[in-house]
Amino acid sequence: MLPPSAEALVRELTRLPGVGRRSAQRLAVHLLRVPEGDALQLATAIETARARIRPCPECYGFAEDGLCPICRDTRREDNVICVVEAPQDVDPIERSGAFRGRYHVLGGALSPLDGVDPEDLTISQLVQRVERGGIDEVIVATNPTMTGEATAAYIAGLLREHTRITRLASGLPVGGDLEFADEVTLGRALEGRRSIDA
Amino acid sequence: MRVDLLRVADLRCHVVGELRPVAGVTAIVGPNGSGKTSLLEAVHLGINGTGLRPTADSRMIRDGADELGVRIEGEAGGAPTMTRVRLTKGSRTIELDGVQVDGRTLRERWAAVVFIPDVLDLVKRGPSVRRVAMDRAIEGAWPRFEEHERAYRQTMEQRNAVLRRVRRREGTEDELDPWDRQLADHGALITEARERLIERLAPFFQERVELLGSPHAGDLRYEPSLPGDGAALLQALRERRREDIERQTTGIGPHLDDLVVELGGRDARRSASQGEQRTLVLAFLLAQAALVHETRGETPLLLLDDVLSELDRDRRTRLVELGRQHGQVLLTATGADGVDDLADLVHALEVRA
Ligand SMILES: [Zn+2]
Repeated sequence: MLPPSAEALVRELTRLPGVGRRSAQRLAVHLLRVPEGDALQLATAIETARARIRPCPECYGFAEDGLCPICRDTRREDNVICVVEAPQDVDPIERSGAFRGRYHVLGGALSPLDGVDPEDLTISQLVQRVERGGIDEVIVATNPTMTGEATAAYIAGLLREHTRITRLASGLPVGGDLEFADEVTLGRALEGRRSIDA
Repeated sequence: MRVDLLRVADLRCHVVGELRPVAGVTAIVGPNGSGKTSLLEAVHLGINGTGLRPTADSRMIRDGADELGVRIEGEAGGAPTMTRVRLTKGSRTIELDGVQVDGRTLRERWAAVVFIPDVLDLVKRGPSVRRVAMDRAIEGAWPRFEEHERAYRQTMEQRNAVLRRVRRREGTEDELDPWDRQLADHGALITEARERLIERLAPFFQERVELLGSPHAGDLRYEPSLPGDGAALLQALRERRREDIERQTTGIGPHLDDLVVELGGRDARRSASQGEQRTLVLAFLLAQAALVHETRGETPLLLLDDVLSELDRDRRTRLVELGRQHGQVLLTATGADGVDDLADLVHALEVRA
């Protein structure tokens, strides 16, 4: 049994995604054992980040003082936008080095069952960006899940008349690769994949 | 595949229990309430990861205990195999040869075909019972297909949520487009899988109806809500959009399919007697087992609960003989219906109350 203030810390940590009670206890004990300054650095970092990070007014990724570093970078290509679900999805694409255009962060994927509808994402802002002109291609890089696919198809429906829409290649339906393929699916996959604006 | 040993702890009335089935037909004999069916349940839990009925599996935990455990030793996929399943009120842990796995991985290794008295509804009840039966048969033959069934259900729930939203005038019809398309894709896969299933199951079924001594020929006929491919389903979904918005539910697709069971060229739903229904259901299960053997090269375990009581002597002998030719069978019997007359076919194990 922990004293009340330690228990409160464990409770807060348990609210973090992917942290169960047991790891929360381990983290709390760690934070209580290290020098006080080290532990408070974490608290300060949280406080500062929360105070300073705002959505980028252009791409809706994370930004500090106005535009984010990518939107601010004048060497990037302005005519291609890569659409992702979450701010952390930008990082792997950046690290691949294969993309030099701009981003647009949706803030999630459509899931009407959970109350996530078009107005809850930055979809209308994306449409405005494209309508302003100068966009030759929108790459929809939402996740290959049911909700990610639906979001991609919805966006494609809205933008199809304005610009070229492409989808990152992924073969089979439902988050699957060939490893998941059974007799029926594989037959289907071999018949040819559906393009996003079919 | 073969189960050589079952051990249970804290399952229903069993504090601890052990069963050593033979390679052929094993009858678990005992009076009502002695826990015969629980032993079949335990075997199913050990090789499938779930109980025999759709009710919450945690209800199998013995009153007063926190956790139930099942251990199975045998042979599956041509190799010695050991599985352990532990169940508490809130968790399920499955181990296959000492490695923790999910239910699907377990089902890809083992296979079972189950008769419980509830499945007698197959012929006479509403179509949902037959859809479930088709899907179970598909999963048995192609275990990975359960992914698509789940995807179809989830996509339809999403579409229905949009239908409600449009009906409340909070959204527009074009929000249905992406869900229609995915629903059509998954739906067409399910239709195709069911077509293929019935096509391959029907010959086995016909043969087994005859082997079970029926004077009339049996057959299976798939009745899809909408035959055709994804494009046809997509078009149908779009055409009935208005109506679906009005009713706030999806009115076409494989969730409305049916399977027609025929006897003597007629729909058995209307004409079959109790005894005939029983024969048809058993033929369906035996056909399912034959298909699993054909697609996976494995003979699934047959788990038959209380199947003998309503059969006459001739049918009983035919069923047990068919089961024995097929592979390993575990069945329950009360003292009253007995298995004495089958003594040379069946290895009887008694359970005491
Ligand atoms: Zn930005």
